[in-house]
Amino acid sequence: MVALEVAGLRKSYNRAGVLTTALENVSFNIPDRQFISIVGPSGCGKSTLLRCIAGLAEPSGGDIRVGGQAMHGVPDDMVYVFQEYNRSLFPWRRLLGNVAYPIESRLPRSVSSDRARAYIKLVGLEGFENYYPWELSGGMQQRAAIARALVTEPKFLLMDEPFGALDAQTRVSLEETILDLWSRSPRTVIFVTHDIDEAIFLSDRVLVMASRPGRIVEDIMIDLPRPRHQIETKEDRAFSDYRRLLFGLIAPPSASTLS
Amino acid sequence: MSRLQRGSGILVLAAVIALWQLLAMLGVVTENQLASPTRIVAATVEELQEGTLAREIMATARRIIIGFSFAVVFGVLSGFALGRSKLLHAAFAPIIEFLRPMPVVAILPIAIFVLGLGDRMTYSVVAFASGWIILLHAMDGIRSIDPVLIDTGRTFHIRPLRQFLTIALPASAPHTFTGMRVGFGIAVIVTVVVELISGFGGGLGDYIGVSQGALRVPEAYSGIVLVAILGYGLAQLFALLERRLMAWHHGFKQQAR
Repeated sequence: MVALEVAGLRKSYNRAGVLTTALENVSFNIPDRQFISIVGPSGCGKSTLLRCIAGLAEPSGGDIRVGGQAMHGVPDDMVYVFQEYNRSLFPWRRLLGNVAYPIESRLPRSVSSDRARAYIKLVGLEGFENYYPWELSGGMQQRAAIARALVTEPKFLLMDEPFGALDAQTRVSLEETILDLWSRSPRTVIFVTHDIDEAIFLSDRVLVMASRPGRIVEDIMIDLPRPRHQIETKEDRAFSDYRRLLFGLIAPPSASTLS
Repeated sequence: MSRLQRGSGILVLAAVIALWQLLAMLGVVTENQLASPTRIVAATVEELQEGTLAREIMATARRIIIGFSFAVVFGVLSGFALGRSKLLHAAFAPIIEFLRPMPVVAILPIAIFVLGLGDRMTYSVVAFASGWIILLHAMDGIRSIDPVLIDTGRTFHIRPLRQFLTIALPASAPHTFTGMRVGFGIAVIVTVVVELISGFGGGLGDYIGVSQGALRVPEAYSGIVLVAILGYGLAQLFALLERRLMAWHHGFKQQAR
């Protein structure tokens, strides 16, 4: 069951007469409930690609089909989680109000409130419902943003370097949270990251992009057993093989120093 | 604010009043130039008891509040409209830039000619003078909303009206409130100026003008001091309201440091 089809996607910008191609001929299919990461060097267009899929940016050409249907605007059942968690949560609402926001106009107050509380608990923020986002740490804020995204129970979760602005330990903790949430309620996750280890650790599959123009150069299935563990999975010989492969693809000149 | 900081403010104020009293008593400044604080207080008390001073204070307060309210309604609504629509902004920005810096004394004769003397004219002039700054701040507030917030509204499929009410409005509120705070200060000044120049309908401005004309110096200063106190008092009320509504913003800004 193909959840998402991207065919010949192209995105270019025209700035003062100069045409810059951010994405060129990007094509791939994603089956239902796959956890797929997109990695690549800075500026390769991976965020642009994600934004096109999310309906937040308009492609210049090509086709995106969600569940077999052509896209019109922002697709239903799809939510985007921003890297800038501190700018995406509403500072004028407390945590509960933030997490309940996407569903509060569609459901009775008590229902939306209860559901929000459930997701707050699921991401480990129970007890902080009355805190303002800016009273929480960075990692907690990103958890809140994830809870808010999941409260709509979307089929697709799009995440744009969600842990990029966090410290290593918080990142580890959040990676485990995301895997836990995904295993409880499987859905299609498209995860953009610059962190190769993170991509291998989390995903079923990794798309590797190159820049100028942005395009997909490799499509790799990650054949590592689930559930994944921060120590055991990373000790697996296969993990380091994938690592070497991906590093080689993303930063070719210095790859020779890795082997 | 620490107790030292709070106390120092009162101390300076008391010192200035004491110095002023001293200068008056020593005859360094004459009664006709600067009335002493004691004379001003005496004149105020007398006018409040036997004269119409209380009524003038109420009249000025009323004009400030109503004129300012019109300015807020006009400024906020048009500010939002111009903030949301690039076309409207392009269309009206030039004329706003032209009308905005007009001094009250310049438009007052026209206002009196068109609207006559009386409260209707006063409200219009006050609204005109203080509305622009509110408009510009409200407009700027809408235009400078963080794009991440807008994208958040989009990704959650929020309807445009709901996006405006639940995202744009709160996000731009701090900006708008700043505009309102500045506009309020202008409203106080303009109200008193209109009363003073038109000399019609009473109010503290008229009271000051009449007292000056009759060379009743303590009464004139009394009027000026009362304007300052009235303005300060109303501004504090406004600040109280703002602090309640924008509590989240103060906390947010604190955090950002």
